[in-house]
Amino acid sequence: MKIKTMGDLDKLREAGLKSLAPKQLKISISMSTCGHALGADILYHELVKEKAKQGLKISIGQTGCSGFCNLEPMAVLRLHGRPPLLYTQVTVKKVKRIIQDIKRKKITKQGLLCTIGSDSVSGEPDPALNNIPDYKEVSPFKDQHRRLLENCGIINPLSVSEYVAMEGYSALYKALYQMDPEVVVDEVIQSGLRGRGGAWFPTGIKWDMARKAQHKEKFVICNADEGDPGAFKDRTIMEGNPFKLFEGIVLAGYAIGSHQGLIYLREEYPHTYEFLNDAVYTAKRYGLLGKNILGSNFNFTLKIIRGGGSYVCGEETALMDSLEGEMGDPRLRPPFPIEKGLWERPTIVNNVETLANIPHIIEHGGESYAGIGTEKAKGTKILSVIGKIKQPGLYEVPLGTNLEHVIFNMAGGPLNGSQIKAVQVGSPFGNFLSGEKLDISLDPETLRSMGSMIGSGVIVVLNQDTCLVDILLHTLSFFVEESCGKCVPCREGVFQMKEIMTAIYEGRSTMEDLTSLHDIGGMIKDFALCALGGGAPSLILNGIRDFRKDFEAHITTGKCSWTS
Amino acid sequence: MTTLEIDGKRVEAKEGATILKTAQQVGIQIPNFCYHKDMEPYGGCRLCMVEVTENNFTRLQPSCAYPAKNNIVVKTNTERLVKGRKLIAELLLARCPNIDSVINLADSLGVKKSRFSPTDSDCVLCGLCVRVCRDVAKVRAIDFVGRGRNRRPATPFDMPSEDCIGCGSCAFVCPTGAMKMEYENALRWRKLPGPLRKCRYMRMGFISHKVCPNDFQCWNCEVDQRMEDLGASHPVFMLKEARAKEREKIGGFEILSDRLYDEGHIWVKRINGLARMGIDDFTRQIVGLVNDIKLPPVNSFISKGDPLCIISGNEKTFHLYSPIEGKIVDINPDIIDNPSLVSMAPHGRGWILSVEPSDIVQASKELLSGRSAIEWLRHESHKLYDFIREETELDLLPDKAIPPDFATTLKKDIWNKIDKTFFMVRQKRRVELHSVGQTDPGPKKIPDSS
Amino acid sequence: MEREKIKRIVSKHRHEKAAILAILHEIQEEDKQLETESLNYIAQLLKIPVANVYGLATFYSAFSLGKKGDTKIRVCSGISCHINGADEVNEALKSKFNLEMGETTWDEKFSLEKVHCLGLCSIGPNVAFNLVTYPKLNKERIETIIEILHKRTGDSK
Repeated sequence: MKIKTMGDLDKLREAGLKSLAPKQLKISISMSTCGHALGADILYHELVKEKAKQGLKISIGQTGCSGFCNLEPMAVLRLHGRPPLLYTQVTVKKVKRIIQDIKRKKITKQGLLCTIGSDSVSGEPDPALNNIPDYKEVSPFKDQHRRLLENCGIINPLSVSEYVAMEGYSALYKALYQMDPEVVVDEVIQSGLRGRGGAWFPTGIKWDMARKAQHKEKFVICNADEGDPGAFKDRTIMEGNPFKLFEGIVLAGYAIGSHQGLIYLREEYPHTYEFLNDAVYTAKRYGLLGKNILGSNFNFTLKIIRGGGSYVCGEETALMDSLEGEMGDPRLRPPFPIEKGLWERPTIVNNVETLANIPHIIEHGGESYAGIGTEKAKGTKILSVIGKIKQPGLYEVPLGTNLEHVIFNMAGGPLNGSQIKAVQVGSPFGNFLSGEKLDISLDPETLRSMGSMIGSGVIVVLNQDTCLVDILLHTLSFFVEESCGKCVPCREGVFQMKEIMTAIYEGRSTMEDLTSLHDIGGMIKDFALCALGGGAPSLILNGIRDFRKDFEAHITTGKCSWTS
Repeated sequence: MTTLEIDGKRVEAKEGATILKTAQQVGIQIPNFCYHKDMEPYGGCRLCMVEVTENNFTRLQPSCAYPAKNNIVVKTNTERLVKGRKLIAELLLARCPNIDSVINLADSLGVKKSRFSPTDSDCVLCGLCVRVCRDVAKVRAIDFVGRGRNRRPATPFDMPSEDCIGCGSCAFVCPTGAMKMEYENALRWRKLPGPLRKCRYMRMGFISHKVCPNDFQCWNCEVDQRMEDLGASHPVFMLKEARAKEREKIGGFEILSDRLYDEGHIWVKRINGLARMGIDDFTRQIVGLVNDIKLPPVNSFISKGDPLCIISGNEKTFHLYSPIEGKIVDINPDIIDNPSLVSMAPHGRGWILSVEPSDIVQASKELLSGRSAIEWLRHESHKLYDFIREETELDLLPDKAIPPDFATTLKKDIWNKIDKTFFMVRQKRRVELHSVGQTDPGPKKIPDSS
Repeated sequence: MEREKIKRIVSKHRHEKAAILAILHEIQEEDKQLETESLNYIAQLLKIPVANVYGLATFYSAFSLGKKGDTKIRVCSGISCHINGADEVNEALKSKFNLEMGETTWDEKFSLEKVHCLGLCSIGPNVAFNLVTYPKLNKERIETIIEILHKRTGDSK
């Protein structure tokens, strides 16, 4: 069915609401990459078997990842007249017990984390759910401001109707029928949205320049080459709510006057690739991609392109080289992609998270969007908090949220009551902050003033058992292996830094080597061609300054003083 | 006029010049290693970095690539730059400790030895060899292999390359002597029989035929040696000039680098403010020999998508549409006398008409040129061969020339499909055009051909 | 791979040079490697120089010129897995298969390689066996998994 009018959209919304609040019991299992890894598919098939065997009157559905992979497989239980219930770490045994209990009109408390939106379904308080908190009150969801992830883990990611029921595609409808492209761009400028891939360039300004570029063919590229080790926010958005991303991409196309979009997906996400292709197929069937989108005269095609396994292809110019069938070498600028990008056409490259913000901006207006965040950085940011932490996962918070609050109050603090030694914000390029200095605001300006960056929002927590020399060496090896080899500072310089760091790690060095690291690092920062090379030395130099003890221990005793 | 400041001097820059070129003009030398005056900048060695102050913002930029903009302030020798260049020299010296050119470069920057762990490589990865082969000789017999530290220039599978024309430009530009021309490779063509035997200039595309008194041993050829001495450069760099007018074949179809192309297979050339148009090689090969042409009258106005001409040949008729808007000021009189000229020299004497465009700048922006034109033609070529494979009985392999009577062999409905897919992309409205020979309402009388 | 098959793959992608990564992916998936003849033939079909194709096959880590195993074991070495003990898992894999990173067993059943992040950072250390990812690994768990795999696929040491 192709959606052509507001009436079609309304009909779909009704269908979606029915599917989200079904008459009979519905169990939805979270089936993203992480769910698969933890046995969600086995659980799903067991459930289907059980249903057939017992002749159960239930429906079985699926959801995407909600950002807390260690709680997978999650299951959302929908009972008529009650808010959905969220179970974590579900097993076959547990599901059977839940079903049995429901037959006996009981609600299983074991594994039940929370309800999703307690007052959304029926106004009255439910006695059976007396002590069950709502997800907004319970860790890890409490204090989050879920704008981008609001549907992740709750709706079926491949169901257009469920997305429409959650206000999906109303922004696109509004833009196509009531807004000129200039107005769309203006809203984005107003919102103060800045690129979430790590560079934090104002998205609206980029779009404005691309819109003004005179060319009949332009491209929208969605950068899904989520290469930063530790980042999985883009995967979660793509697997949890792909249509939100598509809506954002089509809006971008409409705004700049482009009819072709490409998602450059990293090679290491094979599941996501299959999944996105399914989503594109579905979107086409509903008339949300292709010709005459939503019945308007706007056409837009979207293609999913798989990368080849190269980190530097996340850099926008290297990414375009890769799309043209070349090696991913960063290009020189000028010319900028908005003038001469893919195939020398005006091109915008935006991160997945950036584009997923667009529907909200268009729906509620740029000003309302800018209501949260700091003075210069508006909106929310998905933080990927990982490492030695009690509850690792994705935390979507307003920009400017306090780091300490995120780590201790939201993510539960360090693992097993250990001491935090260092926290790296903006991995892999951000500096390691010492455990005592975590009272900072998470926004690009604050971190830049500290000589660091927020990057794509990866926060790595290290406890007292970790040696910084080891971690820094590991990070440097990553940079060396992923250097494209075009420019000397990165190819030779970062390599030599790694050689020196290896010598330090193995205890074959002197204090003079630290000076060498300093010299060479300073040069690379200034002279490297792209951000991969240029970003590499900063964390090493800061590491030497702030964690000198670790270095000295390695240099003087020749071994690590932290690991036994 | 672009004026900028380099090391305190006010300097006037030529249009489109880079900082490096502008600095060289006034005698300011900036060290570099991967730069070559006749090639596109690469920005790999980072030795030519300079401090550029623009809008109160100072940044380091590679002078080989950064444009000399108006009112910017450039410093080429600050402490930060000198220190950085020294370190780069140290790094290069660690990579290639036994290469004279690297030792000399380091020496000129005041670096005698490197403190970093050495490797014994003879290649600095400046990319000159790869670039000259790909961008200047347009061959791409060598390319980079691998990435990062493992990157190196090489032929595919490290075997003698089938694509290599033995021009030797890679070895010529190599600053370290890492790239060597193997004697055997140069001998390869000498072994070929009669007409396939080629001189280096033939393989580079300068000349089409040569009888050689030196038995095709270029290294014994006086002319060859003198060419190198004379230009103080490799002959391949003269190709650029020669290539400007030269035809490149993409997917079996000629494309000219001095033309703009429209997706409806019309070429456009700007001549003295006018836009001259003609059919491209793609159309020519499909239509075969043109025997009739219908044209709009002189002085009439055509908009984008209006019919430009209708040509017939091989019992088929073709509609071509104008990619630009303007007044028709001139119609090629030769093609009216002799319509077959259109198919004989489509890019040359067989041009069709000239218009005075309403907005040439805007129009040229919308047309394809350079790399985008090449990609487009490649795409069209694939599309055509796919089409032929699927829709006709012809077993045409890609790159095989289209037979001259191709159009005759096609059924009507297939013909219409070809017309629709490839040529009618611009069509806005169908207007009856006057056949040559009919009375022309325009003021300029078109001579009768019959 | 037979020429006919390559031809089909290339024409499915409409002979576009831009699709070369997708073409190489398809061939790599089936052949577990990119053979010299395949690369030559792709270049011929796409009408691009072989050097270009060869360069790509060596630049991107998803492709390999040497044969990869039927089961491609990808060890995550992302920072999260690293601090949670990926090295231990790594060593166990290396010694169990008697392989170094990037190598393939003699019977071409398994190959071992390192990836920088599988994007499952909360449940590491992770190792992916083709499309199946095993999370929360340690020395014992990975050894059990390998035992089971060996039983299922026949010995490979």
